[in-house]
Amino acid sequence: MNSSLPSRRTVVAAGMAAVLTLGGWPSAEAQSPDAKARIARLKPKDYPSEPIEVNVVYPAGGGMDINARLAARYFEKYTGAQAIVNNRTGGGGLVGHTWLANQAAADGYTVAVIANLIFADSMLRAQGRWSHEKLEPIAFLNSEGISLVVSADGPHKDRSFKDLVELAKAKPGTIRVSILPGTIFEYLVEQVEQVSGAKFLKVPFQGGAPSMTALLGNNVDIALGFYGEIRSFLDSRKLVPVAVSSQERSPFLAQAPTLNESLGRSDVVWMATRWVAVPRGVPADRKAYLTAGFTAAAQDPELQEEFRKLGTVGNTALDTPEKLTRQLGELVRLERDFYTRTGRLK
Amino acid sequence: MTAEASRATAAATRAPFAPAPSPASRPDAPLPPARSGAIRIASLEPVLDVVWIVVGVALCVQAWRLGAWSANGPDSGFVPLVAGALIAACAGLLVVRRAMAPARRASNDPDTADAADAEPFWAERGAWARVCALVAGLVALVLLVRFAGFITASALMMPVLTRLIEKRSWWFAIGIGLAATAAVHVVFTRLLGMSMPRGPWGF
Amino acid sequence: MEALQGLLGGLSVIMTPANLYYCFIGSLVGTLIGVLPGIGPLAALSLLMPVTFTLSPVASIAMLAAMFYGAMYGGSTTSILVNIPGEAASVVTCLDGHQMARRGRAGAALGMAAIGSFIAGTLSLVALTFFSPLLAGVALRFGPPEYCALMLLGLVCTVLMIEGSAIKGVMMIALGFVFASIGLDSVNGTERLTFGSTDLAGGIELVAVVIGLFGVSEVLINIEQLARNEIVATRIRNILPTVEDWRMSWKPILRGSGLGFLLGVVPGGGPVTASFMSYALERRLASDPGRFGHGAIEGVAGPESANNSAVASGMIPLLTLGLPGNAVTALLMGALVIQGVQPGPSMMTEHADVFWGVIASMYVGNVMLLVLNLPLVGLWVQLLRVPYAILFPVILLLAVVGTYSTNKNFFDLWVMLAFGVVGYVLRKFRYEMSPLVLALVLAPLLEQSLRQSLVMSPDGFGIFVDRPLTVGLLALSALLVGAVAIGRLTRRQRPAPLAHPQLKET
Repeated sequence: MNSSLPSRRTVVAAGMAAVLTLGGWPSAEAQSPDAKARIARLKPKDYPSEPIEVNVVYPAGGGMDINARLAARYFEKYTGAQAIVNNRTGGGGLVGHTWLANQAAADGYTVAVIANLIFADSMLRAQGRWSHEKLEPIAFLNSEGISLVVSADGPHKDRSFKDLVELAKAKPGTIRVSILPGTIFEYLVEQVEQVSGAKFLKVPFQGGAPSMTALLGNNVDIALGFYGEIRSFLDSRKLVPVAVSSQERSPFLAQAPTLNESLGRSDVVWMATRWVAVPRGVPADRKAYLTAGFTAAAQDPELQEEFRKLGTVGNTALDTPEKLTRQLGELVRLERDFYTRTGRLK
Repeated sequence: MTAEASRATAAATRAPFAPAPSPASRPDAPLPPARSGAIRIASLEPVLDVVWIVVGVALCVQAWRLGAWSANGPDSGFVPLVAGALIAACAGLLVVRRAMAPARRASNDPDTADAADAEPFWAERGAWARVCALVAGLVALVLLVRFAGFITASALMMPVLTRLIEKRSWWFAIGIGLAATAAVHVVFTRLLGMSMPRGPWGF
Repeated sequence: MEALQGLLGGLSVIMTPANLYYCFIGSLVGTLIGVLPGIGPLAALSLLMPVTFTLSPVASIAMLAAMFYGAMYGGSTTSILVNIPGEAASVVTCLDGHQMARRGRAGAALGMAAIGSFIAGTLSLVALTFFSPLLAGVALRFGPPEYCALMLLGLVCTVLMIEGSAIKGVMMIALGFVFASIGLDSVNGTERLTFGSTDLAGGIELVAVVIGLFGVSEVLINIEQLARNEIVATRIRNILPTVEDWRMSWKPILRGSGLGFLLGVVPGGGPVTASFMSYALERRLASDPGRFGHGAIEGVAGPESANNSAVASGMIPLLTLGLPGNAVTALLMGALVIQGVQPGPSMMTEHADVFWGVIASMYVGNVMLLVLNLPLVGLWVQLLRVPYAILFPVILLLAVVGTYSTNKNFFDLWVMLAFGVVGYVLRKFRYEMSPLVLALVLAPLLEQSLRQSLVMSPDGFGIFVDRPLTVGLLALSALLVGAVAIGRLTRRQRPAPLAHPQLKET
């Protein structure tokens, strides 16, 4: 990279802006019959002879799982091959990530739908046993920011996020926030504390659903979750969004400011990004077939619509593995910076 | 319960079927004649208690390293510490109780297993060999499932396991083994749509 | 009444040939999953979820839900026949159910399990129909301190279930806590007791433990003897429960229904906890608790009712709040979301047909399962005549396949074997396995909620006395402990009872 390029932060910011605003433009290549024909031409001989296993490292029914099942369904539509979702859960994703990096066969029958949460596992928990580099990204699926919500019946229902931060500064440790330990949920709150000087009381939970339960029961003041987890509560006005962690305001939560807006910063951005990956070393022809199939699926306007309903944003501009790898590389760099600064990574 | 029903139940329980491994045997039963060389449960229990104490202490050490208490209350090591200490303490208690209580069969204290005191660990001759063989067979089955695929592993090992469980003819063993393999394969792959592990030769 | 109207509307939705068909398929597959040791509802539902993509929302959820509670019906079958639980919620059924089978009363046990399940499921659904909004509010009142108190109550019940040596029972509970802590700490994410292994970092799979401790060890214990033929050599009497059985069981069924219903509503409770709390309760309330563990039918009727009841009420937080309480309801939620139906407070108004259709399907499913399972009792009982030589190899194979099917993880198979050997050795030394399994189930949530509460609390342990619900649950635990302590003290004064009281001539 030469020095005339814009700073890393701007690149990422621009990338994020693109992600959020460019969603939903079907490119001509994604039109069904052309794509299917092109993929059929790429099909290697005698492959696939058995169903392709789409691995998800989170439990069935959760946000990741739903995204993966949708992607698998559209992959089947474009390739005619069978794709079966398999949940390899355990250790908050660690078990599945390790298996994918160390044990998954690079024979074209194993793919994974993973999120940027793998970077944290790779850098902080793998302890040298594996690295995320062992998995090669082939198709971008979607990304979304994290929403911060408060209860509509609680004491903070009319407060803005800025107010809450001020409260947390004035009375440290009284505003209870739900976090998932060891994930971007925790790091997000930590960064907010760092840049604002506020001090929240971080209560650990094991998932979005338990933290929403706690919020509704007034056991925490602020909860963090993905749009899919909170949509029903927003519709029935049980929860009120106070901020989103993306670069731009979410089209679904137009009234909630971004964290950057609330804090007057430009570097508090945390997104969940999802993509399809294969173990490194898959034969080139099979990899090309899988890439074409999943890219076509991701570009399909119907799937884009389904993703939109889930509150995520696709991005048809990221349509080659090279572009995707570059994008992800930036995310890794930012995360590594954060971990080094906060002393988690030496 | 009517008198007749209870007598029928009593008769049923005295019928010759394999006795259930219940927590305490009948205390009024006559002492079975010891087979020569048979190891009694009572003589092995102290070994187990020592194992427990070692395990408990090891757990406490590991837990201590993890850290038992933090500013927020119990830390990662708290539960293993308490549990390890409890295991070691209880094992110690068992040792003490056994040392103090005379080895009478009349006493019903289940802590010291007095009623089962005199029972041999392996009641029948060759029992330990059968158990070890079956464990070995299961280990082989798991290894083969991993490296040779389900169908091969099952087709090879099921006859062996069948014969280990009861010594009938090899034809019987092979028949049962292959039938079981086929049935389980059909139920799990066809009916439930599960994919079973495959070996290097594709199935 | 509004609820009644909704239910009738739901019935009209479910009563189409297509929807009924899928409900039936779900019931059938569910029963099969329950009977097969190892493979549980979660694994099966995730395997069959793609099938539902092409179906309507009502048909999908009707089928998946039927598989869930169908598994609770079928789970008792192997527990009773061969002392191997079909899944974790049927572990306690082994204790008395299998003893009944050995006394020639397998039919009564199986029949009572099915009928109790039906009654409990239906009662639970009736309560769900009319009281969901109220109960949803209760579910929300449960925060970390309440969970902690509830799990503590469960722990007390586990201790109460210990039959033989109390010291050995407590050791097993402690061991359960140890195994539960292997993996990642739920509060701060650090690895504990993993010794560098990423397989262990994922924790120890409950299914593997149950199959190993009960299934593999059972086979190992049984092959010690050379001369065995069948499990029961005597005449098998009474294919169905007798009037006497009914007299003893109707109250446990009602109590089990109530208990299961309450424990199912709370997110994080569920069929497993409900089943063993019911067992402990029945044992506590029985006039001669010595019968438990030797074929007391209450020990089958109560837990089997409780686990079915808990499944039905577990749907309440899902459907009314959009909050799944356990892994299976989380999966159901995912299935609904993919169908475009968002479960939650707005579901009753926006998708009333799906909401009431699913509830109505559960009524229908329960009837189907009763009709399916009762005639099967005669068939299952004949299984007792099958020689060990055929039965055990099949059981072992099913154990291996079932355990593998849970996570597609070979490590689980090694866990199963390890626990099989450990279980065999410990059982020989008269250690009980149930307290270990129950502690394994309770420990994670108990520890997590305790530490969460202390993090949340401004004044340390004070949070446990500030909240009325918590205080109530803690008081209940204290009451139980007190009652048992008094009981044991008075028992010491009486002469020691015979180990097999029913052998007395009455």
